Amino acid sequence: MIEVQGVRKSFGPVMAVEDVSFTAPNGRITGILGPNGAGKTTTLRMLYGVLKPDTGRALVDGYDAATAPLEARRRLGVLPDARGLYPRLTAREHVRYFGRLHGLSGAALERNIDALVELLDMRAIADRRAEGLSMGERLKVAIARALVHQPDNVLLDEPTNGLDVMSTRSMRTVIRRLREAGKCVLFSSHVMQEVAALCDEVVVVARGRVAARGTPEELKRMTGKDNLEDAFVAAIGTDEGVMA
Amino acid sequence: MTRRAWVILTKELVDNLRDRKAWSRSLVMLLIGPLMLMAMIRLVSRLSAKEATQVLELPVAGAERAPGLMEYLGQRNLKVVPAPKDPEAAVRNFECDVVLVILPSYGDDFRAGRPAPVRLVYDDSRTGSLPAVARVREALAGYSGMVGSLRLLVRGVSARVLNALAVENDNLATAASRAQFVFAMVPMFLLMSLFIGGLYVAIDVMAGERERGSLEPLLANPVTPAEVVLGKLGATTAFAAVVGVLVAVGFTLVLNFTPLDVPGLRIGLSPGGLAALIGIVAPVMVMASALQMLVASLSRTFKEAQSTAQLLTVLPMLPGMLRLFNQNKPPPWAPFAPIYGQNLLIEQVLKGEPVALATVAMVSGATLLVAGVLVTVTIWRYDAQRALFRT
Repeated sequence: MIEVQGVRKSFGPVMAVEDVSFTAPNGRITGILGPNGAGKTTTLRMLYGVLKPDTGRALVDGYDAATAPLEARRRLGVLPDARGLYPRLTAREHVRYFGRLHGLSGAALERNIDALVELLDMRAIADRRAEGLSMGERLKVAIARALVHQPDNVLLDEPTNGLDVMSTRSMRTVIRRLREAGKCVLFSSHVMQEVAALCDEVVVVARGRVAARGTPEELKRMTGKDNLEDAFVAAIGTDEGVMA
Repeated sequence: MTRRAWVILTKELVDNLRDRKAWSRSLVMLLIGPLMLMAMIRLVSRLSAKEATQVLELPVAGAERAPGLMEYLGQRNLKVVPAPKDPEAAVRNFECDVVLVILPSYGDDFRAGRPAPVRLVYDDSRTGSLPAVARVREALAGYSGMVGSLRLLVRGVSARVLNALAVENDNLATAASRAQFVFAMVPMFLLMSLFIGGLYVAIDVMAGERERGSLEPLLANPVTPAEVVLGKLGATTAFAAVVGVLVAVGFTLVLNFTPLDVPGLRIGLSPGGLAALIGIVAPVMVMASALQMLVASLSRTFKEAQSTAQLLTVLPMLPGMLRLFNQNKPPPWAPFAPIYGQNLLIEQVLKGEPVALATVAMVSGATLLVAGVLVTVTIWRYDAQRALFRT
């Protein structure tokens, strides 16, 4: 379970996140929707502890990411905004590296790797070096290494950014499977369709604040619109930066 | 803690071992040092062969005109051989260092008691030929003086009145001082190889990781800044160590198999000496790697890191330069200063002098202390928020 409690983060004069609170429970897919620059990535970064909030707390299974970053990260699988690979390592080696950093080894680790190669349909690229992989294939590697330790909580920052239709579809399948396995899935997107297609719960973020929160149905009711797109626009206050 | 640092270390080793570009550069360095040493040993051996005790072949044109002079030259260990047809061309084409030409009027002038003309053909921009030229000149002056004295004696004047000074030459250049370059070159190259061996690895694991965008995913794992930095330091140091050891082995091979043909001198390195050399420079491997990692972590891009870190390879040259410009004894703090101290110790090992363990311990301690400070600063810099977002 992920809890964000009144976090605020500024970089010098720039207020990236002003006041964001929400809870992402286990077995549910929670989407953070907002235009570019709304503070989605900054909020996620505070959850895996690479940024410390100025005020408020970001908790993973009850562990504060600012004061107990290792405990929080142990329970997290993260696909960050930056998802660079090592050009000279193969797909499998990437996944193995992160598995080892999580303390896995031997047959157990190899079993997890094989399972992810199956799940993400990576058999053809598993032993190829990253330098020759396509954008979609790279993303699969980045997801696989984030999930190798079978985390209970999964953070995905814009997971379908730059993917073609087929890759996007298989990505959605993976996210649904994670929910079926009882994981807490939190992902950010600026694509409304994405969020509408997947989410049990939506947190609409705009200008560093939570503009609205609830299931897609609740959002429609709250804003008085019967169409989801209109509901989002009403919640954000502008249609700028949100893709339909 | 150690386990995760080890995981990072092994990953960086595998990753960088596959980087052929980094390897080929280090290998070039590996060859340059020992090959240069070999070339210089050959040169010094040639220079020293021209010493007075050794027979030097001297091409002479018109030797038949001056039998007395030829005999005198023979006594001075100068073996007269027939000169090439065109002495100027022969000297210009590096066929001989110096040619003596006895001019046609020599016989008449000599008999008449006038200065008899001889010509010396050489090129004084060729340092290597100077000892030979000097010997021939000395011999000619000797003959001139001897014949002149005899002529005065015939006229009843003692030649001694001509000599206001009695100069004795006491040249302290010994075989050992001629081999001084070995003692300057080996420490410099060996220490430099430690800076070059890990250079590209340090840049790749620090600046490269950030530029590729792989640092943020890495830091999203349960790792501490210390684990990340120590793991990467280990990999960098391993590369520096391999290159350093190979260069030391290369020097040992050259010193043992290229004979330094200088009488009374034998520079060689026993396996024990090689081991001592490696032990002495081991702390520098860590310090050089730590310094490069800190510099790379402060740089924004791979390129910036590369240009800054390359400047650092000048550091191991400093002690050698200081001593070149200031030929006095090294300052009293030198034995304990990182790099300078090791430089002096390597020299002692090469000379076969005993090395004081206490000195080794002190300079090693000082070097590791510097390395420790550098690593601590790097770890502090590597706190996720600072490393990723430079706040």
